[in-house]
Amino acid sequence: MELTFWLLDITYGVVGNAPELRLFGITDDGRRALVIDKSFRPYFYVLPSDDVNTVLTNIKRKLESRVLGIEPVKRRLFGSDVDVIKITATIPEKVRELRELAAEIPGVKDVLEADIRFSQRYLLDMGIKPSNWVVIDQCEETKGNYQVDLVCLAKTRPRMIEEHKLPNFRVLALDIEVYNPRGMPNPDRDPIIIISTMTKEDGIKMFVVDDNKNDAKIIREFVDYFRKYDPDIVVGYNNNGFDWPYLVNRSSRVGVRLTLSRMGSPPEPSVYGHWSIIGRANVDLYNFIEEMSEIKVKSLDRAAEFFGVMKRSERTLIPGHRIYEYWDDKSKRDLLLKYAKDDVISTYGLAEKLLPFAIQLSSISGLPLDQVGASSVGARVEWMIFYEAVKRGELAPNREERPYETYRGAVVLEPRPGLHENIAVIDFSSMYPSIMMKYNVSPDTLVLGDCDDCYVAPEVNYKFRKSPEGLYPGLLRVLVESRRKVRDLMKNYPENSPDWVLLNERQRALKIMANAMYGYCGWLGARWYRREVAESVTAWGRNLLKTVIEKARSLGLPIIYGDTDSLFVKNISDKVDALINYIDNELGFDVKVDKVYRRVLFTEAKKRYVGLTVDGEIDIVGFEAVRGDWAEIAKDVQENVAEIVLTTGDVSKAVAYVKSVIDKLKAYQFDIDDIIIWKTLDKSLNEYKVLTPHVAAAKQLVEAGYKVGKGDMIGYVVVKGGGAKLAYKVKPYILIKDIREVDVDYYVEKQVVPAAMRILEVLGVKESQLMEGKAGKSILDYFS
Amino acid sequence: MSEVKVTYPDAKEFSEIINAISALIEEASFTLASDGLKLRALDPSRTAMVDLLIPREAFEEFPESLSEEVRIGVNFDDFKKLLRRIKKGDKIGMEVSEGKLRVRLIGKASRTMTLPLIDIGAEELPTPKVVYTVLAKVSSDSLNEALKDADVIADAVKFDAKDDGLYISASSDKGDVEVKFEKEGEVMFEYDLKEPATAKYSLDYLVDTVSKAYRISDIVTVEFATQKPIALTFEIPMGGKLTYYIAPMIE
Repeated sequence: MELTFWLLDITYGVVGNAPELRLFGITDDGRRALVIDKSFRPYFYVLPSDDVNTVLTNIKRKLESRVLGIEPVKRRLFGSDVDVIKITATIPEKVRELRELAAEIPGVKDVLEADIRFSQRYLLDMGIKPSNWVVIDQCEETKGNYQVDLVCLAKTRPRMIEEHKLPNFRVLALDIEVYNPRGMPNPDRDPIIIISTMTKEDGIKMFVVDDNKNDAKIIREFVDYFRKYDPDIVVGYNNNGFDWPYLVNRSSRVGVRLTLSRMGSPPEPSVYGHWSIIGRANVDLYNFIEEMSEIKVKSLDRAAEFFGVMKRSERTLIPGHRIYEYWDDKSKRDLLLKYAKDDVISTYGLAEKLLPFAIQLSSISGLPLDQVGASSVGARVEWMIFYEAVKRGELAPNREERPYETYRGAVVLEPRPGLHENIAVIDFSSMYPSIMMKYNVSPDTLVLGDCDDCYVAPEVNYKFRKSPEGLYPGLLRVLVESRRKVRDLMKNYPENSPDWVLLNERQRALKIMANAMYGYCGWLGARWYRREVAESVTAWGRNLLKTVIEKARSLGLPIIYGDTDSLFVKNISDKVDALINYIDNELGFDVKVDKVYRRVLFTEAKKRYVGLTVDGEIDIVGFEAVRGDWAEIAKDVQENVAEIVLTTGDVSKAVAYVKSVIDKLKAYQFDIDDIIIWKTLDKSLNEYKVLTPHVAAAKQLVEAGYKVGKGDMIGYVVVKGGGAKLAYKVKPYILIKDIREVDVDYYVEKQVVPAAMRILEVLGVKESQLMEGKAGKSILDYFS
Repeated sequence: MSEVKVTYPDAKEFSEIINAISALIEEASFTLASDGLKLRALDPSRTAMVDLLIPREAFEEFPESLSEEVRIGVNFDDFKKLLRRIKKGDKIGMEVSEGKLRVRLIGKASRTMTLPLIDIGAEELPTPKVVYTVLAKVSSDSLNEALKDADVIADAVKFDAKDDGLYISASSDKGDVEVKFEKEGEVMFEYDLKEPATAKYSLDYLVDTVSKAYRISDIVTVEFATQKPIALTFEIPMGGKLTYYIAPMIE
């Protein structure tokens, strides 16, 4: 039979002595299917340094009895034709051993593509990408012990078809709450008290322990429900970092089998730090929020508020480390249940906002949906390049450890410090893909010797062949053309209709991936890294930006700041239009006004500013709003100061605000949660040579009988007395009995004031202005 | 940095000075200069400043020449604890070398203890330039008592300089206190009134400082003016002095 299905997850197993690929998906008629393909074997390449036939003989002598095939083939490496030897192994587990043996054989220069995961190798060679529709022309039904509606054995190669519609997924949001009387919960000791799930069909389900906190029972109930619901996609917030590892460890502690995958196995850790549930896609939404610089504080409640899922003011909020108190105190337990409910609703709501984009990212990059969020941007671009390379017979270079090196980067102008009004930001980010296409810049078109028919990069003088089209420009052209097609298709649908939204997410993902190619060029971890490529692209970019800056000057348009791919100019509309026309028509690059700031504040430092857009949003760039050793109160002060200055334009209001915070601190009117400083122990305690504050606090916890170790978040407070070094002045927050122990002067002088001054200093505010108490002015004010 | 060494003949007196400074300051740097040992520091709220000078003449041993000023950053809590070990009749020697302060208590036996020197960001503090309209030299013991009386009632105290003398008063819903230092009275040694003045100061600072500093000297010089800081100066033998400056409370 012919089978068409949407590829959700892929894994492999070894049966007998043969590997089988397992492709899980959803068919066009809504059945959950598993396609097994036994026709594919792992392989890798050997690059000979001498004559290929001599090396071939050497390899045959050494390996013939251990492999399925040894054959010479023609490929390309960095654009040049090469003769290589392809070695096909029996099962993936043998590849490591074989590649080490092969590398020792005389005449072997290098071993290539021996580090590709088998399932990914299959996808690359078949030219199919996850999160796309795949057709198997002949698939023979068979039986198997899997939790799917249909199992079949592929008799032909899979092929990908172009179809944008998505299947109807079953999505399950998951969130757990854990009893944590000793701060960081420990699965050996602390039970799970609430497991909440949410789905479209069943709504919210909450599995809550009884007063004995018997969590084995609720985990069992949860597993039963999960299997019955049978989700395709599981979403959580930081579930790779917390929920899954905790559930898995806790289940094995209390003796419950977590048979959640479509093969009846428990979730397991996998590549890029994600947790895999075979046959389903486990997506950690936190991965996507983590990448969004516009969300400063990356907690679930903040992310949900940002996306308009749930307002913070309309939900129950409980400090995470106090969950146990809300459980123990029965009068507060309802609040905890409400909190858990709000969390799972927020998670589900976020999934509705983020999954469409995640799916498009997966379908374009070729990384499975459960990995695409956890992987780095570099990895996403690399897989996309890899697909293109396989198509062209271009070999992937090995990943190398490269020493950090610098080259002249992009143009960053000195900002004009101070508060500026009405500023337009011109976005050049799509200029880099245009440069790469226009000048055929690619690792495989780079010519190091003489070249007659080449583009030559300004300043750095590297040369790139004009034809044939290189790997990067070719891929970019595909991305740009796909995006144009998608945008054309969008016109067939009413704005904001489901089809339109889906296509919009796709064109957005295509654009983001195209713009990310430039960053990939300069990424030292890249397989195809060539310094010359990165340097040339920036050189062309610099050249272009300089031309634009000169033009702006000649138009009399004041420039406030410029960085890499954006230019901040005074928003004088006719002049801005004239500049954009010039760039479009005379330079041949597509730019636009990205945003307009009503007010923006620059310090002397580059890459550091705060701005208020005309839509009333505040951007904080490059400040330490999220510095690790700052307590919540310092972060809040900085954000609020920025907001007051930008919205009112009145510095004295900001000063008054900071003073009110200081007065409250000095009067001990604050919540202890606001002054806790959180830091992770990234080594075990005895490995620390220096007594840092969080280590000192951790040691106190150990003395008090708590178990702490590597990976735990230590929350401490700075207290009075103790001595000069901060490490002698800290105390774990759980050991604080009286709020008067707190050294409020520390919080005033080392947290609140510096946080506020970062912004206010530029506006001419002196530190002493913030410090004057109500009791009188500073004594120094009388001395001048 | 080469070794620098000083000896003060009366360890008890020295410890009282340290004690008086520690009323306001947790940590600060002494400066050893060619004219003596100095310290100028603000309390954490910056409401008050302390200014100390012990001239070189007051020392039994003092470096002949100093190529540069030496900064001695200490934590006063720790320093104070160490000075509790003083016995009657001890001298005190201090040596700075290699990031440590070696304190020698020299009596029948000589005991040496060391403190780590701490690095305190040096804030250049200006020399106070305030025009005072009142100067009164009074018994430090009586001033201490007056302030303690006021402290029973209120958080702040009012200083009123009138033609007939200096009035120190406090009031709250708990009651009222008034202490008068009469011009030419028994506990008033000098009274110079340029113009009448009235100002209010926090008792937190006054009580903390005076209750310790009155042991240094029997006489305290009080200077203030309307809505201006108050300066309280305690004299140290051989022309040294310890002065507190406290900002007024503005109503």
